[in-house]
Amino acid sequence: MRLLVVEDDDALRESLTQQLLAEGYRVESAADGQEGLYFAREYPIDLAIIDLGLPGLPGIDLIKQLRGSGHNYPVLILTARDGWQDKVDGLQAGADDYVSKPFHFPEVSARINALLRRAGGWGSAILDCGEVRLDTAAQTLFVSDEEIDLTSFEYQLLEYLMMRAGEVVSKTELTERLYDQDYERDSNVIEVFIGRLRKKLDPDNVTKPIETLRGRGYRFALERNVQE
Amino acid sequence: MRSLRARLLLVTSVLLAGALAIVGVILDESVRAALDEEQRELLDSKIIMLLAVAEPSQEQSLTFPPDLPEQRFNTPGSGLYAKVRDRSGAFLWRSESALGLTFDPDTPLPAPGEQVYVRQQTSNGDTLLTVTLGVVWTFDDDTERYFALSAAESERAIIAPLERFRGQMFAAFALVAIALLIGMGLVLSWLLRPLGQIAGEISAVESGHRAALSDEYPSELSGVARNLNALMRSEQRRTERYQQTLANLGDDEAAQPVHSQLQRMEQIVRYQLSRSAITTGRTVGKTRVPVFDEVSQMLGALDKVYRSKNVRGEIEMPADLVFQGDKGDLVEILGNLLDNAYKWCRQRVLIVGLEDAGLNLVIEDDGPGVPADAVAAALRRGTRLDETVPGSGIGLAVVAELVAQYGGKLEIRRSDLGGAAVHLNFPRS
Repeated sequence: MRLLVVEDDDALRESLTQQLLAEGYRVESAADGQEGLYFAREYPIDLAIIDLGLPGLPGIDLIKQLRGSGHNYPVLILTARDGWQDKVDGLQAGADDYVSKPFHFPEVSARINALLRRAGGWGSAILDCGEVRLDTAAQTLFVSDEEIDLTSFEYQLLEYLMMRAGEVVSKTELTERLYDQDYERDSNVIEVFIGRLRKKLDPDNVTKPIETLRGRGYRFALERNVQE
Repeated sequence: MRSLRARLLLVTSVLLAGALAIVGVILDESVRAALDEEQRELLDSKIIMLLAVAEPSQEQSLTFPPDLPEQRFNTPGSGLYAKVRDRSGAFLWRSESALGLTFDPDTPLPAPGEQVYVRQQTSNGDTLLTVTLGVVWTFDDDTERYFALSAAESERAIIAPLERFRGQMFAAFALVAIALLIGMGLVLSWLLRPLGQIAGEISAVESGHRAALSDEYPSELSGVARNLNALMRSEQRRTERYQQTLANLGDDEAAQPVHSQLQRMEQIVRYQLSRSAITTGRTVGKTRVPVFDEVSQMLGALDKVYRSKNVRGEIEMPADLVFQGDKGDLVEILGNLLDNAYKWCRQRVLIVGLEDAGLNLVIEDDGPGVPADAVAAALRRGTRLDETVPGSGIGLAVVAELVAQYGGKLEIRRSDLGGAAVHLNFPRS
C-alpha cells in the first residue's frame, strides 16, 4: 500500500513517515499543499494523510482539488483537538476520517487500516475469504484455522489482493503499490511471490485462491465470507 | 550613571577642570609678577633718564627740558608721570603729564641713594606704582642739596596685557579640554567596542544566526567569550538529550502519563486563549447561530467517520432555534458531545432542542450510558471511563468549561434510549 503524508511540521512528518514505513507501507511525504497535490495526483496513492493547516495550499482546498480531479482514495485529516469546525469542514470537503493532534501512532495506524479496509469493502480488521483469514490488525494469516508464517513482502502482497478480493489487480499496480519508487521494477519478482503465496495458501492446489488473468493481472478468487 | 562611558567622561571632566584651574591660577600669578617686575624696571630706567637730562639751575634747583625724550611725560593723562621734591616735600618740578594730579598722602622721602616703591591713589581714582630715588646733588659751588625724584605709572599699563594673557589662556585651556574629552571619547569607544561586539554576537546566537561567539577578543574578554561558548554548548547538549529522551519515549506505555500531561497542558493553554477570545468577542456583541444547521452538518460529518457503524442520527428541534454566542464554541460543544454519542451508541443518536428558560439541548444515545457514580469523574479532565476506547479524556471537561463560560448548566442523566443523555441549558441574558 502506498500512502501520502502531507504535513508541514518536519518532526511530525518525519516520525509519521518512519512509523508507517516500519508498518510495511510505502510512503510519499510532502511538506506543503502544492507539493502534496502533485504527489496526490501523479503518484499511485492508496490513502492520503493530510494536515489541515498547510502552507501554500490549505488542506481543505487540497482535498477539494483532489476529489474534483476524480481521486477517490480515502483521506485522513489531522486537526487540532479542539478544531471541530476544521473537522466538519474537512469531512465536508471530502475527507473520510480525522485524527486530533497530538495523537498516538497506534490510533493513526488503526484509522488507516480501517479506511483501507473500508475502501476495499471490508467492515472489520479481519479479511475473511473461504478458508483464508487475514487479520490486518495483528498481521497474521490463518488457513483452515492454522496459522501460516508470511514474510513481510508476502503479507503486503496478500493483503493488497485480499483487500480488493474479487477485483482484477494488474502487475503494474502491484509493483507500484508494493515497491519503493526507486526500486528496480521487475514484474518477475511479483510472479515469484505469487507462486510462493499459492504454495502457502493452497499446498495441494485444490482451492486455487489466486487466479492469473493473462495480460490483465491477478484476482483473489475466494468468495468473501459474509460478516455477521 | 548606567553607562561606563558617561562615568568615565564625568570623572575625566571634573579632574581636568580642577587641574586646569590650578595651572591657571599659578600661571596668572607668575605672569602678574613678571609684568610687575617689568614695570619696576621701566620706572627705574625712567628715573635714570630723568637724572641724565636734569640741569642744575641758578637757584640751586634742578630744571628739565620742556621736551623730554619720553613723550608720555609730555602728554597729560598718559599714565606715566614724574616729579621732583626737596627735603621738605615741596614740589620743585613735575612732568607735563602730571599737571593737575594730587597725591595724598604723598610718597615717603627715601634717604639719599635709596629707592622706594609704593602704590598710591591719585585724585582721579587711578592706582599708581611709584618709584622714588633719593639723591644729593653737588652744585658747582660745592653746595649739596637733597632731591627726591619720582617716576610713576598707572596699573592700567599692566592690567591690559594681563587681561589679554588671561583671555588667551582661557581659550587655550578650553581647546585643550575639548580636545582631551573628544580624544577620551574616541579611546573609550575603541576600548568598549569588543563589549558591543560580544552583545551583538550573543543576540545573533539567540536568533540562531550564529552557532557560537568568535574567539577574536582582547585578552580581558576572551575568557568571558570562552565561558559563554562552553555554557551554550552544554545547554545545547542538554536540549539534545531531552529531545533524544522524548523521542525514545515515543509511544511506549511508559510515556503515556507524559503524553496525557502534555495534552492537558496544551488543552489548558488553548482553553485560556479561546476564553480570552470569547470575552473580547462578547463586547462586540453576540452572534445568533442557527442550531439546526450546525447539528445537521455535524451529523453529516460524523456519519462519514462512523460509516461502518450505520448510526441513525435524529434531530428534533425547531428550525429557527438559535444559540447566542460564538459559532466556534457551539461547534466545539456539539463536536465533542456528538462524537461521544456516535462512539458509544449501538445504533441511535438523538438530538433534542427547545426554547424553555433559555436554549436547551439534549444529546442522547442507546449505548451503555454513564453510571451515576461516574458522572463527576467523566466531567474531570484526563479521565477516560473506558480505557479500551481511544480518546484523550478531555472532551467532556472542555464542554463543561465552555458551557460554564456561557453561564449554562450541563447534566448527564440516563436516556430513554438506554444510554447517556447529556442535558445542556444556556440561559438567555
